[in-house]
Amino acid sequence: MGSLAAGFWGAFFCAVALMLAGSIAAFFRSLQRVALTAALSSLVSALFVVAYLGWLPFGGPGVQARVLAHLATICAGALGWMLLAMLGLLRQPGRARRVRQFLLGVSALVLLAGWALEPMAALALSSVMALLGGTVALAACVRSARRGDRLAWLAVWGVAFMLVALSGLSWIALDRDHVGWPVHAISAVAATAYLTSMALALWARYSYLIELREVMSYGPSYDPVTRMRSHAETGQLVGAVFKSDGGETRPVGVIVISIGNLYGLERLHGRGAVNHALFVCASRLRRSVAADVEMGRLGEDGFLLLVRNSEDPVRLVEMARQVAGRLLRPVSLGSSADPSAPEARRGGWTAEVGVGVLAAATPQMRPSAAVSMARDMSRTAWSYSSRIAWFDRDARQIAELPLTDVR
Amino acid sequence: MNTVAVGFWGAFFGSVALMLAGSLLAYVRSMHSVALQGALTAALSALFVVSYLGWLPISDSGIEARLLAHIAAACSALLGLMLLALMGVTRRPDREYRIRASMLGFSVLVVLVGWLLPPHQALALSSLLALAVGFTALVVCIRSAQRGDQLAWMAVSGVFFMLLAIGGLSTIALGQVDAWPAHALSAVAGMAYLAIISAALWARYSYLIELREVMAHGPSYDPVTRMRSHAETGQMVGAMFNRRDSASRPVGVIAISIGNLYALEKLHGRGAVNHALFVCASRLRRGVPTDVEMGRLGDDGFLLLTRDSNETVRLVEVARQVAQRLAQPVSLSTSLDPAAPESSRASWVADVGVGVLAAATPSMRPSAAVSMARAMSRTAWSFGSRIAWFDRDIRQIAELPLTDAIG
Repeated sequence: MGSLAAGFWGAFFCAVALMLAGSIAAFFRSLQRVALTAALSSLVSALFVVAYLGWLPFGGPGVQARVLAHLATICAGALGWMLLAMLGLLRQPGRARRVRQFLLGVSALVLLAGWALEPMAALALSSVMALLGGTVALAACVRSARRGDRLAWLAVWGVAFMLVALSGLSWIALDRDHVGWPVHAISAVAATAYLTSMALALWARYSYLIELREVMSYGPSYDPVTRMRSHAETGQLVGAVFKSDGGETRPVGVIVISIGNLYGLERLHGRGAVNHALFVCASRLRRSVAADVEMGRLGEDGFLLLVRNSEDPVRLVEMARQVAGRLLRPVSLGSSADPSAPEARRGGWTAEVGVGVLAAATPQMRPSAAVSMARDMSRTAWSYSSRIAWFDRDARQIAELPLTDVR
Repeated sequence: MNTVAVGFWGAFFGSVALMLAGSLLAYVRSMHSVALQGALTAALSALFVVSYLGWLPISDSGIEARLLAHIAAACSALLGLMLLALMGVTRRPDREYRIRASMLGFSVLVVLVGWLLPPHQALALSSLLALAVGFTALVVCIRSAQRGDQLAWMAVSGVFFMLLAIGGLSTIALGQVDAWPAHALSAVAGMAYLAIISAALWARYSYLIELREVMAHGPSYDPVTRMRSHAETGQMVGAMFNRRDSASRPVGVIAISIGNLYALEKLHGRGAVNHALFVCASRLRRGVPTDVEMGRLGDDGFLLLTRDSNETVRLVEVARQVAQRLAQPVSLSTSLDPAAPESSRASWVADVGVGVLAAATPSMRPSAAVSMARAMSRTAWSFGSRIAWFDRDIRQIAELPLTDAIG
């Protein structure tokens, strides 16, 4: 094989490796079936190519041709089955059974006939069967593509590239020493394109599942903009956290964050800008807060953080400082009315944050009183320079909490 | 060069080609800055590799080394700047200016000094500059990774691989080594660098897609079906009916009601209802011509409006198609765990009723037309064909058969 041909096949194996890496990533996102399909299809194609290029480490040319004949038949049957399933043509159980029997019968027939022939002739027979199967699959794809299935056009491209790659590889396998590098190059590029269209189809399926997962969680207890609990669900959460079992005192740390200039933002730049600002604030909150803190929306313009068993007031204060510091950073908002260009026309905006910190002793204080007191404190904090208000037990009044511990 | 080495470099260029294709796709989806960044990264790295491997069509080694020195300086400065921008180091305007100025000044200095030296030493100097840029980026990345930025660890490994690739390529270009393991190592490191950069770009891109979706939320948008909400549908109805030419072009109204959503919610919960609505909405979107306006109607219905409903035949066709599409079975996920939408499937068939009100006369009030169509769709639940229309001859609501049996 020439070094140019080696380069092109290197590109193909790079695509295989990338697809495997992608399927591993999908597997960890717990979409096992899609990941498995992707890994299987990339590995099967890689095995197919390795065998057809004659890189199998055993046997003479005769044995290899026999192996190739079997491999080609089995792969063609399996790939055809997967393709038909992907096009949704096997939904009816009766038809699925008939197609399966037909595919199995033809493959067995071809294999049996192959054993009656010379190894090279058997390989040629199997390749012809694979090509015929591919052509039939192409016809099925075109038919269902013309009926308006968008995924089917992708399948048409994939099968067309597969046919090109398959014929090139068969040529290479049948006449290993005399093919020039253009044949190698064309079949490698076609195989890469086949893998890419396969990956795109799987990606469509995968993104559909991700979307579905998101859609299923919508409801009155979920806020789609910030992806947190909605205001109503936050009330439920407050009740659950404050409900003490047994009557012993377990202080609950309450931090309320109010944003003062959301209303002005909506008047100025519209709903989209407000959504953007809330989204950015929520993701900053999620990143800066420890894992044991419960979060939720509070009203239209605020967030509520609850810490169970907050024996340590220093930690609560630290958290409030961190949150205030994070949220006070400027956001560049997409203020264009066209939602398709969120990057264009940035307007700098800084949230007018107020943070109220309250360590509520559970049995004495009612949950609603604690939350509304913390909320009032957060609104008071808009006028402080550190933007944080807390309840000073020594002076028995609401006071400003400085950003650093000067005392 | 060795065949194996060529294979590995082919894999590298394959990943460059895939990255270019991906950025082309992103460009088509109108994510211009992300697409540009991806394409520039891929193209610059490919240029760097091509020139360092000595594949430029220049015979004189002195001129080649001079050219290489320039390409190395330019590429390393640009790639370093893009990496820092990707990590958000250059977000503050004053810092961005300083970083840009120092990077450009330094590389211009290196190029100028290179002209005072013999060609090969200039090349070595430029390679050193590239390595120095890489090390600086590594230090910056590690510093921001320690501050808790998740993206930064990815950038650290990316810069590490970039350093590896540049080091390998420099030794190859300076003529020290030509064994295939050196080539393989640099090619694999280059591929890993590209893969990591594209993963970081993908994170940025998916953030923008998410943002675009989030910005559309509001009272006029229904996040489950991604259509107009009920309130916005009312606005649309008013706008359609109040056109000036509404006397000559009457409005056709199709209302769709799904009868068994309430039972589905009681049986399998909110997630299953969301799933069912999502599937129905996407079937509607696929099955309806582009000039038909769609929206949610109440909790359990959809409303389709067309202009030009003079042709009653077309309206009836649309209604039939919609009724057939929506009556196909859906396999719903009924598991409570949203992480596994594929497990535990239940088959569900929407109890669809379609009401067709062709050619609403100008004298008819919009709300009356919509509520009449809705009432007809609820009547249609009891019909065999699931479609009800207003029969002008007998002046009453009648069943519309699925095929034109009676003409």
